[in-house]
Amino acid sequence: MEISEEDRAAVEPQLQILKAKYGDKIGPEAEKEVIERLVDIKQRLEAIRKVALTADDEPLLHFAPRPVRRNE
Amino acid sequence: MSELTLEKYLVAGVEELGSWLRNGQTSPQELVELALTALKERAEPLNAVVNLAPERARVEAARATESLKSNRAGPLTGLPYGAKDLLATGGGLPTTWGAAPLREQQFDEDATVLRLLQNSGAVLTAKLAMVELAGGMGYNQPNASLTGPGKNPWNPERWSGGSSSGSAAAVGCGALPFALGSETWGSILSPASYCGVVGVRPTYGLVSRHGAMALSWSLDKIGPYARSVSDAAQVLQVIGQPDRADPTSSGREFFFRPHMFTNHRWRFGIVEAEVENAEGEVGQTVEAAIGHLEKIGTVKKISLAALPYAEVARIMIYAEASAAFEDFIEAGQVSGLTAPEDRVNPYSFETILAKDYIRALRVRHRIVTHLSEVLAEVDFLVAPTTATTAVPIDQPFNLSMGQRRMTQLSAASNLAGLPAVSLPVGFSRQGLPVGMQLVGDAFGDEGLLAAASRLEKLLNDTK
Repeated sequence: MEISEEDRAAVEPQLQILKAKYGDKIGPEAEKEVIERLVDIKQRLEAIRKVALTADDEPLLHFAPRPVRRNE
Repeated sequence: MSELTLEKYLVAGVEELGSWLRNGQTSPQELVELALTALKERAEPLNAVVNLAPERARVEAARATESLKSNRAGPLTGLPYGAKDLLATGGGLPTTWGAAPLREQQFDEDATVLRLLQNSGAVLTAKLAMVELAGGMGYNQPNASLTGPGKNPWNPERWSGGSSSGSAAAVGCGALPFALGSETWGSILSPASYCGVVGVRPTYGLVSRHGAMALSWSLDKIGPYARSVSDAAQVLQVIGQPDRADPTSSGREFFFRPHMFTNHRWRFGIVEAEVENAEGEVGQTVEAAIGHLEKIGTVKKISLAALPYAEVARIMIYAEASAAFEDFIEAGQVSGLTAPEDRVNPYSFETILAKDYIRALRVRHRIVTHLSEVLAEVDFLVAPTTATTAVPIDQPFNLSMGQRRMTQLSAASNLAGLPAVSLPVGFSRQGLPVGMQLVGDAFGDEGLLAAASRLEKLLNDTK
């Protein structure tokens, strides 16, 4: 995965928080993997934020599928 | 002495074996021994088995024999089956969740679905392999299970798919007439497509998840694999029951009455972009199968709105997995997982903020509404199950699948909790199966399987 300098810089604060919390569990060899995943999450969240939401877009906090009313 | 040979057993389905049992042509004990032999000779070399359960199977087979003698037998009585190893089993049989650190994990009692199958007389014969923690740690390769990479029954150098790898492979190689798998996003349907079997993902809430490993509470579903649609429907008829132990249980029961749909004509919506995105041979094979749909209904091309389906699905799974496996992750147990990426990926999941998760839930609402609008115009959405045939077992997915890893329809329909079935519709020139998925309306599982069964018959008639 190619990571731009901008993306790398954007996830640096999160990386530092994770390293402070998990210490040696995120060693130098694992750092690249964590950075890639942080960038992946960042890009996915950006795609989600591009959807223009309105007051009608309430969160689906209790998910229960319902059959649709059919147009026959 | 029975005339049932291993060769005959390997190609027989639920209906055929059940008929032989009820006619006295074989016995539950004989089927268990054949299944154990087939699992050892055929499924274990594919890395499809975590643990065999011979003692439990022989006890359940003896009980099934009594049911058959007293005419209390149902369609599954005496039939051996296997369960994905995220379904809890009591009695000292481990439930590993496919993860090496949980190799010895024990539960006190069976998951609800296994109890229902036991009550129906079915015989649990094996716990089947799966991708570690159902793939929730973000694996990027087939080698991500304590049992090794799942090998494909049609070509062991190809992957069986995931995360229900062993369930699909065990049915695909003939070792078992049916098995249970689970899907959060693609984990029943994709292995069904790769292994050339039927896989059913029921509507969210139709099948109890009590006793199943939680990866994503708002997305997890349990469903059957079998060699035909009607065989899978027989299994769903047993496990599709209300369950007070599962707070997401819909309270509905599943019935399969295909005679009610004998002359029914349906409206099929082909998700054109999915056919175009598929590998050439996959797209062509699915297009040929779509031709048959015109014999049982109308066919039109449809498009899904441009919404971030995959992004929402991934964020929801990461966030919920981060909570579901909080103790496992914080204790550093992920370091014992098989795939190197699974040992570090999960730390990053906790950076997803509550407001990000809520935003994803708001977009999920938009997605559910959109699919409801689409399904008001057609009865089923149709697309290739996977964009490729089974990928090589020794390559990371970003190389073998690239941008074709998951279909949009798979993400969208899982987010909406809709039922789906994948059925084999042909083969590539390399002899690998191609699967086609039909997605139906919420709790329209019966009509969905009736339509898939009609299509299956049309395909079989042209062979």
